[in-house]
Amino acid sequence: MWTRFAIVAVIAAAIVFPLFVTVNYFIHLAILAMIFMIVAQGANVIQGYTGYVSIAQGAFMGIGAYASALLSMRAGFPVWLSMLAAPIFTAVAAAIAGYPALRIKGHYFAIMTLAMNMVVFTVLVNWVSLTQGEPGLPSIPSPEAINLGFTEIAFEKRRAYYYLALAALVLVMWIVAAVVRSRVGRVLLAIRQNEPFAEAAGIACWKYKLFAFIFSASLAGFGGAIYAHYMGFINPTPFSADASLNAILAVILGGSGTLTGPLVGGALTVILPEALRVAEIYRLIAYGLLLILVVIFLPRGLVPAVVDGVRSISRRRKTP
Amino acid sequence: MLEVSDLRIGYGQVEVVHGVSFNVRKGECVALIGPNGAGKSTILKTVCGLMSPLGGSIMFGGRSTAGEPGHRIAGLGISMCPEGRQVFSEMTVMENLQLGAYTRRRSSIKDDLDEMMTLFPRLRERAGQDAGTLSGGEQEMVAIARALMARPKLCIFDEPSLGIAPRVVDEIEQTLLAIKARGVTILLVEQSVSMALRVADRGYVIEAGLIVLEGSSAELAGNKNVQNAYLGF
Repeated sequence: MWTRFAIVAVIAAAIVFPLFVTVNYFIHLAILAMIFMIVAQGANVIQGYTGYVSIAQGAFMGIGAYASALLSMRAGFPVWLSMLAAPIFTAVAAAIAGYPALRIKGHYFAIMTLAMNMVVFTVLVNWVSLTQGEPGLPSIPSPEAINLGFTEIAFEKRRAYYYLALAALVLVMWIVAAVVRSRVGRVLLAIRQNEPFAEAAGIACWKYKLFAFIFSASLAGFGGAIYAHYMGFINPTPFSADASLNAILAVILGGSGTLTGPLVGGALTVILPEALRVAEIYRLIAYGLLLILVVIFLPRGLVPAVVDGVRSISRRRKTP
Repeated sequence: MLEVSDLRIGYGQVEVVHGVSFNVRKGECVALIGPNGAGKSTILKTVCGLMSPLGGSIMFGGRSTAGEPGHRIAGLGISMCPEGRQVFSEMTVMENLQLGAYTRRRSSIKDDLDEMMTLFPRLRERAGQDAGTLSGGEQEMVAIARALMARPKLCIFDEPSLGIAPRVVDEIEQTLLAIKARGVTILLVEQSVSMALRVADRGYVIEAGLIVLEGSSAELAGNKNVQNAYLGF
């Protein structure tokens, strides 16, 4: 009951946000934050729920971004269609990469995915005939305008795109919530807690791990597609391993294995570096320090810490 | 039902089980006993498919299962209750039991859940609690019940009394006898040799990766070497 109320309140707040905020720069940050929340939620599926840390979210975001951009520019797909095709494209790439990679465990899996990210990055830089390499792809089209009869929504406008990103985020949250609460979600949790035991219970763990990996990658691909058509220009830089590490960071900061954690973490990883600009050249030092403090004092992340705090306060009130 | 012959198993380059043969017949309870590091748990892991053997054969119900993945072996009807009270600690007792029945159709599970709650009344009280918050003995009961939920043809217990209060060990012994009375075939590895020989029909003594002695429980309990080494006479 309270959760449902909170969800409605947050969505309502997100809807009215652009009406009160007049500075375009804040809207821009909000859009980037929402895109990154989608990518982080993907990382959460494999890292938080399944217990396998993947350092390839950035690469999958890149595959989605380039797939969507190229489909709309070169193959003549409508932008809406190419944005929906991007996650499918990414899923296929993740299936090919994940099948061998998921045979190994723990740190080795993480290193393997890091290597994948580097390979994808190198391909994006060097396959010039397709990606135009380091200089990047300019003038990626915005999604086609929607005509409502009395008015037309043009997505070149920042505010319109804000609502597009918000709708995409709500859709992603809804799908992820459905998956983690299903039987499949239970099995993923079982794998995280004790994989050999889950295997001994008759669960074909590799199938579920592959599913989690593909699912998490396709969310990153979807985020990448929204990013590409928002920025109108992409080059390989934002899809390096740095982006993957940021996604991991977002999950840890917010609270891994919780639905809301990646939202908080994703927002922070986009907004904190900007907010810390006041510290000028000490910005990155301050950022690093903050992260270290969170990891030391709130190892489970912000959301579980806040939830526990609220719970213990309300309990104290009930039993004085 | 289970026929293991000349089984050799190793970790990396090091062979730790050097050609072990034993069998378990339908309806029987067989114990593997021996000191720490003899290779008992390694043998169990291999039978369950969590490790691959270097050589030898494992036949279950007339089918070779050596080197098959664990989930497939579980699907054939071998259920494992692993060493050290392994439960899904962040899931409730009920969810643990439901996952135990993973290989089965969902419709038939409810009766079995009831049955387990009757066998372990304490679990009924704790059904909605996270398994990680239970006491050691209760966690072991969750692990045993989880293994039985699969309705296994062969149920394997790896050190069910390890690290558990002596009073609860008696309870676990009673539970094993109750399970045996239901006609479940059991392969048991146990450090508490006196308990193992009270529960089992037959036993094998394993030392340093070899079977050094085998016989009925009564024979083993009467053997001078077994008495000296394990029963503390």
